[in-house]
Amino acid sequence: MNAAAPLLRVENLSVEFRTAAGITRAVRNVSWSVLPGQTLAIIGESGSGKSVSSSAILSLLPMPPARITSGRILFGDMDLLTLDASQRHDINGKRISMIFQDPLSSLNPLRTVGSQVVEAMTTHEVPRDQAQARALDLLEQVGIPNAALRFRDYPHQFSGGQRQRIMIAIAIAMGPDLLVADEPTSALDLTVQADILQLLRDIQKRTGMAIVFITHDINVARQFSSAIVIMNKGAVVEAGATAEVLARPQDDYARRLIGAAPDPAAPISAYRRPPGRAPLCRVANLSKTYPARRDFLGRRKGTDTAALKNASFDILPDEVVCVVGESGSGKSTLARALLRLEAADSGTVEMDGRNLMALDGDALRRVRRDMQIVFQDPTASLSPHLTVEDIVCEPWNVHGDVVPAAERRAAAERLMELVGLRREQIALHAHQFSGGQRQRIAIARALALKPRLVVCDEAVSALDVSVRAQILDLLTELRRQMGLSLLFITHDLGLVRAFANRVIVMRRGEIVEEGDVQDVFLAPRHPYTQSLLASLERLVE
Amino acid sequence: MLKFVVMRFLSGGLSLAILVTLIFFFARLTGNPTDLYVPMDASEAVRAQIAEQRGFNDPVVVQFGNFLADLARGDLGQSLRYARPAIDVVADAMPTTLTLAGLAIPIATVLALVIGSLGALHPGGIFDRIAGGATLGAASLPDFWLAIIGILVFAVVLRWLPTSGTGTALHWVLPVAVLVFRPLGILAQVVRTSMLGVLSSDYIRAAEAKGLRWPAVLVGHALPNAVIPMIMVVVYQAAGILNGAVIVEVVFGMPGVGRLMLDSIMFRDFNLLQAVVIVTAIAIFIAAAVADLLLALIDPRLTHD
Amino acid sequence: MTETETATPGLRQRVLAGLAILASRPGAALAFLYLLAVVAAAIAGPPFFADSAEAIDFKARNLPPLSLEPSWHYLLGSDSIGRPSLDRLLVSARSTLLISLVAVALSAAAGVLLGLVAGLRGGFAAAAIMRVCDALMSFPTLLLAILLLYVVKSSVGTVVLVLAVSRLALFIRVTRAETAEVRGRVYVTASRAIGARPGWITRVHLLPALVPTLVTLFAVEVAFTMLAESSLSFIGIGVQPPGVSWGLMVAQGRDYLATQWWLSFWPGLAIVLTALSLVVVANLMKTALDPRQKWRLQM
Repeated sequence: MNAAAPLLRVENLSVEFRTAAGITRAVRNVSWSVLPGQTLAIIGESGSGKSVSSSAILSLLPMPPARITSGRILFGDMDLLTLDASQRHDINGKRISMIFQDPLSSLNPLRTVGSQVVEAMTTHEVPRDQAQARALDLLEQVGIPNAALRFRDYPHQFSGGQRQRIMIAIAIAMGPDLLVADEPTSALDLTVQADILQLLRDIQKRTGMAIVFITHDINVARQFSSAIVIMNKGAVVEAGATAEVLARPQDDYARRLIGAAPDPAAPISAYRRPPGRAPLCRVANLSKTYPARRDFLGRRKGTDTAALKNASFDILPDEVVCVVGESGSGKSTLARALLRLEAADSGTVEMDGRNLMALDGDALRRVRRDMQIVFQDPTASLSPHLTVEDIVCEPWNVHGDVVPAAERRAAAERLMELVGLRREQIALHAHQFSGGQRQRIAIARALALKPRLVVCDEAVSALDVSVRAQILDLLTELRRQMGLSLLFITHDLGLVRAFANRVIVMRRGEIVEEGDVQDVFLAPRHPYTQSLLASLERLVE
Repeated sequence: MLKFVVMRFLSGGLSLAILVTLIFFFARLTGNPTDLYVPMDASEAVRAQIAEQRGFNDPVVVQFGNFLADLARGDLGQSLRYARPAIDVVADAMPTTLTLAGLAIPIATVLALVIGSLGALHPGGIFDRIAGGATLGAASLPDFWLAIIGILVFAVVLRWLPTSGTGTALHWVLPVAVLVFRPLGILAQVVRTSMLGVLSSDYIRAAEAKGLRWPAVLVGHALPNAVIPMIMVVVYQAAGILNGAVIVEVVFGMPGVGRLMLDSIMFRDFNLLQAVVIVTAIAIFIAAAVADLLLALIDPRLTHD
Repeated sequence: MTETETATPGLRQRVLAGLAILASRPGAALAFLYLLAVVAAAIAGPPFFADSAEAIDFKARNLPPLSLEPSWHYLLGSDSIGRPSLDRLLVSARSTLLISLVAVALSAAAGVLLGLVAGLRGGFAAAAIMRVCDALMSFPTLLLAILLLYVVKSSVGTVVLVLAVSRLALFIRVTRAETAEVRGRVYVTASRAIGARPGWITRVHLLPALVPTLVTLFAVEVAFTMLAESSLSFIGIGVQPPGVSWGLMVAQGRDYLATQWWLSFWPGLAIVLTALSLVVVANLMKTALDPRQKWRLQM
């Protein structure tokens, strides 16, 4: 056995949540431990309970509704579950600290960032002047430029990545033995993600603190941790050395989870765009500017934002075109302008040679049948007031001539089966389904009019890894059966590699690169594409 | 910041101008006031003379022009009933109303903060459920009934407090208590809701993870954020008392602005009515401006772009 | 056929489910029962008790509550000319309730229509409607009412009108805000992407989302309008004798407070309980009418 004693041991921890809807056993008999200086990854999908055990370490569970029903959390010889307020004060922030998923909301919006870093030390009896000097030093260490000048700025004046750096400065202020990082990079853009992980790694090398890293991203766990715990439905299904577990998973669920992760070494689609084919959809010089807000004298506050600048590209019949870009790149504006859900300032969108921008009324409605959309959040995109039957039949009720009224229910049931749901589920409401099932319903609705182009706006981003793989398989299968073209909008570069035929890379409203997927991945021409791919590599290597 | 204040004053001034215009023409619709100021058996000649003297015979537009000109000089005219400058009559009544609001609103605010926060700390707990019912009740109690019950219990039966008047400090207890109820009920609900939201936010968990002691989390992080949605409601309630304490002033016989307003309409005392409305509108407007400034001071997101 | 029934429960199941919800919430059940009693009084009060409520009987003057002599009519006491308080209360229920209901119904009908126009149309019409709204809101209700009631001579009709005007702005604002919010929802965008016309979106998506909010608002507003009406009647510019309302009864009893407290107490209590019950029932409806919240009640 290993000679080093564990820094922290979670033993047989069980946590229940009691709500009006009933009792949920969020964590059942979970045990794991982390050694001094080690990085442990806890992996799981939403609802797996991966965050619950780590929140219990710092006593951050909302009680009620949460209730700890069994177990101990040993830190040295102390049981962290039995501490009183003053013992807790000696642990939190001082010996164990934590960073959270959403850096936008984990800083108090009303206080300067400097004061929030200082507070992390003064609460542990560090004299104010020392704390202030060290806070400045910390902000520089985590890479806030002009830290001295920005000390008195407020959180909203920093970007998401910078706010996470400030959170890290707060967390390491007292030199803790253990840092709990709860999905610290999931809300950040790819390039920022890689930087934050590098920062954490550097700090760990310097201070020797242990890290418990909670994530849903197997590739991040692979390169960042030495030990791993895989959780499913509140229980640990597999644990061990990261390399060992990921290479030879024993448990069924673990095997499926690891199999579903985007494979960095997956073969790139060998698609070559056939020359000379007429495009199904041709976008030319599409532009959209959001005007700055005006005060009541009509003066502009801030500047206009060009969300989309002269976007031009083609989609061939039966082609999968992926648009990749980070937040604010204009990729969603592109989707909405292309479908005329939002008025573009200039440019044309031709569907089968008809210019969408010049159409109106019934002619426009006619073209809409050919192009449909699936949104990111399946919960928001389905009306809570309608049954699934009404949702799936809505396109036919709107376009009365497609399916005769008497046959709509049967047709809707066939669609349900097509997208992998049961026909009798058609009488339920959307909130009675899981996230992945809801996205299947949204896909069924999009397919009802037999469109030739389906725009998927981040359609799998909100879904768990294993569900994501199923939905992608479904889309691939439907495309094969129905001969669809897909315009697939995503921030997830890893997904594109195997799924796309063509790739469009966007930044700040502009298309910076477009090409067949193998060309863009293997020989990127634009520096921005190169840096994106480099970040991806840093995340998976 | 300065720009912010200026904008606030401009838009406030605009609503004030609209209000003044409306009041003027509205009041003129209520009938010819000459009748109220002459004896029943007065001759037509006397009536005509009084109407002429007061300017009631001029076209309404001319009356409005004169009114605006006077207003520009800060002259709100004479009160017909009291035969004194209208502004003086209002100035005499103002302290009573301001005292009522100045006592009732802070008391309601502080109590609401305490009750709402305690409820939010243990949602669904015994205190929360009792407080929830009580605040709901407090918000739906009509103040005239509350006033009457208060008089009945504390003045008539127990004889602890006087029934009406303004002589001593004891005279203020019942009116203020009655005025506290509705704002307290509404504010406590607002505080509870916003506190619940704040307490479940990430920055509160982050503050706990830092090792901050619970009182420091509550006072340093939770309260300032929970207060923001409350400030505008406080102003609304204060405004309600500044021009709506009519009932309390009538029941408890307090010579405040609300009663003056009611009287001025009953006696068709135009100038007095205009003066009352303008002065209370200015008071409300100042309160709202102060609230805006307070918000801007608390929340940095409002002043930065 | 059987399948459709499981999807959309019939009226009978809905009533049964509603009763089950009430049974598990004693507070709400009491409020509901009280409101039923008030409605019953409003319907049956005037035909049955109009005569006895106005019958002057000097033998039975100034009876305190709990008097069963000369008859049960005097359970809540009587006034200085021997009219029984209980009967007067029952008779006044109709006008008190009707004034508020009609006022809020008028206000809601006009407000929802204007709010929909402002929310769906945008442009000049919306701006104009919202400015009128701002003006109405900045005008304190009581002041507005007092002024209006002096322009037009006080009568039941004018009281209703005044109350309706004073609550109009709220209905406009809520409808417009909700309309704008629903229009921004993703499922409405999805419907536009399908090619749905504005009429379809209003009928299928907007109204189902609006109804729970409006029903709840309606109930709360009836409560507040009732309070406003009784305030007006109390200061003598609302309902005028020989008209009757609970607020007027409180005002009339005020002079006898020291000797016959019950004259003001009972009608006041009736108002308070009605307002409170409406608010409690409104809170329950808000949850019950939201398909995502409904499960909270089923336990």
